[in-house]
Amino acid sequence: MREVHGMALSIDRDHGPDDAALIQAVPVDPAAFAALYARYRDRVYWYLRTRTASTDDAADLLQQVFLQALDRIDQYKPKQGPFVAWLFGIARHAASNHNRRRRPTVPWDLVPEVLRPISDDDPESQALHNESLARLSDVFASLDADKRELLVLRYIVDLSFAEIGLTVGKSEAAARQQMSRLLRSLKEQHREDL
Amino acid sequence: MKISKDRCPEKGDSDIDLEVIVNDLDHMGQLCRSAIVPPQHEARVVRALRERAAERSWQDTSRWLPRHLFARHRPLALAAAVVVSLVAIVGGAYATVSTLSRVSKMSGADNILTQNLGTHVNRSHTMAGYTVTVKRVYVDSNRVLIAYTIHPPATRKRQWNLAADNLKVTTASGVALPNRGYVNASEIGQPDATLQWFDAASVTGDPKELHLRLTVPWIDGMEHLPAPPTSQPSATGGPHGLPTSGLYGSIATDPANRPNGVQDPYMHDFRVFGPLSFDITVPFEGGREVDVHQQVRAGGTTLTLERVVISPTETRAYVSGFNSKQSHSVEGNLSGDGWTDEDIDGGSTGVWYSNGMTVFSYLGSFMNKHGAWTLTVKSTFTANETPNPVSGGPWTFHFTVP
Repeated sequence: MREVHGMALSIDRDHGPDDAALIQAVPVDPAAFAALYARYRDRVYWYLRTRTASTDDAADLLQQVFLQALDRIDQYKPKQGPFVAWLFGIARHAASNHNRRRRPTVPWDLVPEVLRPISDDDPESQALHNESLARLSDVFASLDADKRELLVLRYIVDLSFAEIGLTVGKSEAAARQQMSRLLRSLKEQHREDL
Repeated sequence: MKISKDRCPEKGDSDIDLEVIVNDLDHMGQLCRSAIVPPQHEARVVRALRERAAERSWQDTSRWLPRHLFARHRPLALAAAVVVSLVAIVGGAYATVSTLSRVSKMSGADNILTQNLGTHVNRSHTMAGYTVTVKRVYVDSNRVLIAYTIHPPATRKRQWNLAADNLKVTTASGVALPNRGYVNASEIGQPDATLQWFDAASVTGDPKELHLRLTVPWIDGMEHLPAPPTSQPSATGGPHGLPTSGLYGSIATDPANRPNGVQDPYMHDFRVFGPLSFDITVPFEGGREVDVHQQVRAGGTTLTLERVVISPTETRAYVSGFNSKQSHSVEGNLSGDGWTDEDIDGGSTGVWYSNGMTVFSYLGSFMNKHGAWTLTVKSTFTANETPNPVSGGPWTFHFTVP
């Protein structure tokens, strides 16, 4: 049986080739996709973790997303936007389909229990930390899914407004404006809570 | 990973309450970014990606089957071909599975072997030492399937991905059937096997059998070079450098030698010229056609699901209403009570545009799916006047399959 050369994962994501070079190399060198996987795995996983009820589900979707990305890599056209936006478009669809199939509703827990650190921090830091999370929990409970996703894509996944726009099907200006309004709304709610 | 410093769209805002919120969000972000993919899941994902990468061989990007895309400059039905070169994936479990079985499974047509559908042909022709054997042919309402193997001559060189790249199928009335795709399996010790399929939608009248002529203009393959190439390897493989005509039995090689990893550090493409022909008569398996004619409007666009054609190896949904002059990608998800199109083992989907219709294709058998079906269509398109892609739909069609 013919052996397959393995996928190298020890890629320096910050200093390696850019996405376009890797994508172009994928057809002749599958290891190039390994580099893309290593580069975006964590961010996609963080996003999926906020959209699923368990790490198992998030990991299942992670596999699904990257398999789909690998299958469709030839369909990605740089002129339509950065690769990360294209990839997160796949992730969004996968998460939405997953939730539709598996459960009628899946709560958005932006900081799932498993991610809350068991910390050795001093009590004061821990208290501040808990207070911060409590504030956010109250706030997020009142937001619809689109607004929560906007916050996830910006503050967890760290997409730019242009990338967010392409991911969710809006213009950069619209994404930026929506975030601005959302933050003002959160600010007002915070004032009322005081 | 570097984190962007731009956290507030309204830069310069010194509002304390806003700062608190943004700091909380930053804190939440840092917390979430401390999570890692659990090691047992990471190993599984990497293995799955490795297997998928191993299954695919990109010799020519034009051979990829675009799952959801058709472009403005290709308004006609795409001559899409998927070359899936099956090389060793995991150990002994695959050793006893023939390459022919594998290509059947990969093209959603496993049932032609398990249910013994189609016609056993087992007819061979040899040119320049390469023996092409047509093993089985099958025809239903949606596609014509041709399964064949290629045995190379006994040489010291290792050759693989042997396939009749430009196989043509014509009916007795001279109609050339469009090529819709193929899968190829290559394994040491077995002849290379290919399952190629052609569009049978033009076959009308529900005949008992079809008379087909298969023409093999040439055989393409890849060959291991024992010595380093004399020319510089092409970084991206480049376009095929093989001629499209040659004397019968002659062999041309592509001068663009390419590195191919550890196992075959140097290799090149080659082409063996025919032509070879096979005349074959095969029973027509037919299928079921459901006339739907349902209109759904969304986002200012009305689509009509005209009909659904269900055959033992493929299901197609014909939708009218998309503007072929717009460049966009479309996606159609098929589902029913307790199943989706993703459940089919070995299945895959495709989409193309033909004669005013957008055709959604689902390889695999849905013959036993009766009752309520749902087709959900989505699109992303870039209209001429807008720079950014716009999501369209979804258009959801509900219909009953008796």
